[in-house]
Amino acid sequence: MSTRVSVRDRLIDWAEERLPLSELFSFLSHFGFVTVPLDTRQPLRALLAHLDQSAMPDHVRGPQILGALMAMLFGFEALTGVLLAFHYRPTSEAAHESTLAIVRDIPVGGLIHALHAWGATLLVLVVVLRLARLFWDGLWRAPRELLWMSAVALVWLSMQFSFTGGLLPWDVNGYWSTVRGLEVVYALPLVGPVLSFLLGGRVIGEDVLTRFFVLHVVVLPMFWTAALYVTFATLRRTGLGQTTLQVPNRRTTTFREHRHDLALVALFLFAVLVTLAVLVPFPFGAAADPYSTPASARPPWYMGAVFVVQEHVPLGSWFVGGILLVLAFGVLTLPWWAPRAEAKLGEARLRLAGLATIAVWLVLSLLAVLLDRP
Amino acid sequence: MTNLRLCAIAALLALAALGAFPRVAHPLERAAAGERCGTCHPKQRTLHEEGIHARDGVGCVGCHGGVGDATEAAAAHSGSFKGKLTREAVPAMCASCHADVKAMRPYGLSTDQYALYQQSGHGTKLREGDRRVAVCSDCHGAHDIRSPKDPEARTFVANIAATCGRCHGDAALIRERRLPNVHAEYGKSAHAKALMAHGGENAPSCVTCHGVHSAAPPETGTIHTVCGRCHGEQRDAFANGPHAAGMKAKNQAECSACHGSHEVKAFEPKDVPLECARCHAPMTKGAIVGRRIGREYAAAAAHVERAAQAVAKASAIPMRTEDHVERLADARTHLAEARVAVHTVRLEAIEEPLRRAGKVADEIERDLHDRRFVANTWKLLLIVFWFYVLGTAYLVRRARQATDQG
Repeated sequence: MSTRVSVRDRLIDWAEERLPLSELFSFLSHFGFVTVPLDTRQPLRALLAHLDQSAMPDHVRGPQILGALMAMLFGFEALTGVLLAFHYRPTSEAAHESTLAIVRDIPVGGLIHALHAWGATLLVLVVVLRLARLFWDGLWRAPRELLWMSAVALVWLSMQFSFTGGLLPWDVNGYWSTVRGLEVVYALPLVGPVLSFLLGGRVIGEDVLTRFFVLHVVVLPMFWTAALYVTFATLRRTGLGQTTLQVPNRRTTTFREHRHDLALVALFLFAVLVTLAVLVPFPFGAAADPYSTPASARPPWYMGAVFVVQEHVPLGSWFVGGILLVLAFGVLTLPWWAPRAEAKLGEARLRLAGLATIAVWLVLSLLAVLLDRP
Repeated sequence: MTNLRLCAIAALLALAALGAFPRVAHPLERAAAGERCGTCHPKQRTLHEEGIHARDGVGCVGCHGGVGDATEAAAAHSGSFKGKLTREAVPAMCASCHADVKAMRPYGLSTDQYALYQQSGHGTKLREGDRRVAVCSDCHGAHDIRSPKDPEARTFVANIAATCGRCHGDAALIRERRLPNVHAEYGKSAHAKALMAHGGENAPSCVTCHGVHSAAPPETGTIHTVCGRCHGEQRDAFANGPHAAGMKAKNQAECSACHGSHEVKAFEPKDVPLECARCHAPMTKGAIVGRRIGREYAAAAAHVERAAQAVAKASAIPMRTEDHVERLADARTHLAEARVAVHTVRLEAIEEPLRRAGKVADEIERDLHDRRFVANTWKLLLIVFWFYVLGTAYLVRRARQATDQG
């Protein structure tokens, strides 16, 4: 140990005398990557030194990395989203024009827009994969009900983010995909009329755009942050779940090594997103015209399964929407009904049922791509 | 004093209210007030009330005579009563008001319709004793006469072809008179398609070429004047070419020899060689020039189309293409100039605008190609970016392995 105290440490000590730094760090790290309990009575420097030495399972080689990826992607989306919001104007006249200006005229605006869009795509993918992983490893069992419910909430919220964000550029694809989606939402019994009132009416115009913007940049981020807090807060009480997958060379590391690994993951995530954004431009169509429906109105990729059922099976929109709603609440309340199903079926069969659900969803999504090509 | 003032204000308010809401009598009410003809003739009354005459207070008596407010049939059908008008009597009866300058002045209507009708094919035949030609009521209606601005009027621009077609498209009538079915032919024409697509603003109906009240077929020698009223540049180009004199010598109808008279065709430039071959034998000068016109125009048009696709592709990226879109409009204007110049049938006159169109298309393509090359070159920076990423990763990895934590 060096006897000299570095500038950084002197700064921390100066602040420590004036602020409860340990409590602040403990609170803030609930939204990020610290999943072990912290002793906030210690001063921050001692707390960090102690944290660095605590034992961690090696995340980078296991599926537990999905949670960290999810938090990183959300931070990334927030950052690029703020940059986009500086130039975006949420009115039906200016929305497309201002998005075009962002993509085409503002320096690196096109890159930021593509990063935000690709990040959103990856985010939905990551939260869905994470939910599947939690199910497979049985992490919905007591005492991790809250972990499961917040994971379901994060899937819902990601889809709501994607749905509201898709309308904002006010281009042909986004507009008509929203029209299609809201038709299903509004057809729901009881819930539909209420939502239709809250979202600004059945005609997708200025009112709906304003509400979607506010949902996208204010309301949903608040809910997301809350769900993220619950995720990491409950982990501190219940501990990280063990994985059932046999990972070779799995070992235990210290938190110090763990945070370096997370920095590497963040770095490569950023690099992959930049590469995607530069090489595969995200489609951005012509301005939406409410008076002419294009033949190519497509749902977002994760809704392809619902789309193909609606197109080819003569079911009412209210019925499809109702089934989706029941499914969503069924998944949310899984910790309460699954133990009984498990007692009847056995653990392996319950897992298979989950796998079968995912398989059906994938096959239907594939059909949506193959059957309804524009 | 106060009462007086109150009264004055009340009176002023009442006057203002009357001024603000002038009472307009409903046509039904007005007809009922003066004339009782509708009591026995309800069908005619209903038709009449829909028309413009009812609105302007022209009732039954104005045309049919008699006593409008009489309560019995015999009394009503007395005095100046004319009953149902004969076809020969209709034009003169309508003219009794519509040729009266003083009577028509308030309505801003011209008063030459009767004189024009006398000169028309219809009027001439009627004078010669042919009763089965169009009189005023055949086109305007007898009781339900509407303004030509009324979309339900027989004389509304989009309905004119159907109105003329009631006789000129009637199978029995045209067979008997040995006339072509001009109504069916017109229906297939470029004019009819443009009329139906654009609501009649810029496309001709029957009366545009034949005249309204003076309707008669244009004569050979005047056709280029009739068509030239709208297609002026094509007419001038035609007059400057060898066709003008040559066709006149052979007494061929100028425009309609190629384009048809009622079934007017707008040629696709690729059809031009076929059209030339109708008169010019294969391997003669005319046929060769026709083939070259078709080939060179098609090449230039395809070039402009390629440039248009490049612009569409670039704006979908999205790239700034406002300038290119404007230049594209220039190229299309040059193509339109070439289509006009085809009427001269002079190859050099056609090649000049085609060359200009090709040059503009070339500029657009080259500029877009350069811009996209620059945009793609930026992608090479990814290599530098990945070097940076891997370098940083190496540093993080080294920091992870460092045992000395200071």
